[in-house]
Amino acid sequence: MDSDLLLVVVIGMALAFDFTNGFHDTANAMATSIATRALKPKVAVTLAALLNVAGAFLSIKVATTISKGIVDADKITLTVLLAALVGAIAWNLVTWFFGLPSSSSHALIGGIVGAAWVAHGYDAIETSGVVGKVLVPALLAPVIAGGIAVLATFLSYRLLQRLPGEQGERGYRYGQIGSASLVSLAHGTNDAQKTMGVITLALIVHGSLDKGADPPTWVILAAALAIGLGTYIGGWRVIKTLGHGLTKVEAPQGFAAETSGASVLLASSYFGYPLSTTHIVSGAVVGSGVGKRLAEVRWSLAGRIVLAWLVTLPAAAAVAALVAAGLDEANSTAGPIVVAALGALGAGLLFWAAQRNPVTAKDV
Amino acid sequence: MLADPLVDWTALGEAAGAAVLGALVVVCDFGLALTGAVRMAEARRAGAGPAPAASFAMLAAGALVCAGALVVALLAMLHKT
Repeated sequence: MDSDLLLVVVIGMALAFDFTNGFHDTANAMATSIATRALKPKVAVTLAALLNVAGAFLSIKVATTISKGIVDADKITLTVLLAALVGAIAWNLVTWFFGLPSSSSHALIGGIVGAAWVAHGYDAIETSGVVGKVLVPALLAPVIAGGIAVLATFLSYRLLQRLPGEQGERGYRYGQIGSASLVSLAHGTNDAQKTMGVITLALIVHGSLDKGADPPTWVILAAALAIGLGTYIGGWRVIKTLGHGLTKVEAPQGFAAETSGASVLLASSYFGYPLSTTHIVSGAVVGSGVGKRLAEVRWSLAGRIVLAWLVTLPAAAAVAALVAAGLDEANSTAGPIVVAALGALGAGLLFWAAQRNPVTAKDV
Repeated sequence: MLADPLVDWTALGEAAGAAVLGALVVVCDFGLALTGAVRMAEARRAGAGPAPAASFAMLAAGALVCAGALVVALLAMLHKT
């Protein structure tokens, strides 16, 4: 297999993954601000896109260790990365189609696990890492963020009661813009660097970069722009679910949810136990519904979302495993091109199917 | 204790504690600043002359803490573990 061609396809797929990561996760920062009309939908996604791009440049700590503790580092090859990215993109697109918020990081990890398993056997997988770094956090993150959001929402409404008329609500809308912006910026620092890490890893595996090298400037720029563009396009289906589906969000709830989300996101990254932005914000939105007296939380939808989180890893792993097996079987130069073409076709079909029941900026 | 080797409970506990503290401090102080701002606006509308010092103090204290929290947040982003 031509390794130069494979590298080009991997880089293209990594940027495509970054793009889907952006449009899938716009909702995390902006869904509640859009729902309460603190920001107009297009203004919200533009702001989120700019902050994601800025966030990508903010921290130099790159996640070249996305697979660390999950699979044996020596078993990462360009084929494994390509298959993993296809699995992650596929899961991102399917969950977007159904409007379900799900973790792009977990999808990527699932992809790496599936591809490494097929390419190198079960021994390449570090099961304890998968449980400790993926499955347990998926359950704990929403509980922690949700619990904090319950308290924050309760406090916000207690304070709001002391304010006359509409002015308190308006004040909380301004607060929402601040807290949502912080989530966007933090998202850029975490998620754009994940793609930078994958591309840098691909360049190292290919031999174009030395082991332990920092990502080249063009990689940083490309990853920042890809996530920014994806965020700007706006995954309106997921925005609708988070902003309106789980609970009817009012400005104090939105402020409490985003402030709680930002706190958990930043604290977990700082203390070395990174949690998924999607899991945190979804939990916080549910918590903001529980924290407001008489507010209704749609638990059936919340249950469907949690189910999607639990399926994320095996689903992305299964797709990646199929792709890895196919590439291994074909073992030809055409393999990566066929994979890229089939991926593009699948994505196109999904977008076409989505047009039958479109969700746009006007619907959120 | 079976799950001890799988999950870094110390890091998780620190993160949860810091997150609770950060979120509640910001929510309370934003509320304080908002209350001060609304009361100042009410006083101005009622033509009561200069805003009461207490309202201004609430606004200033709340805004200061929120600005401090923003700085801490940016530092946390720059110094991830």
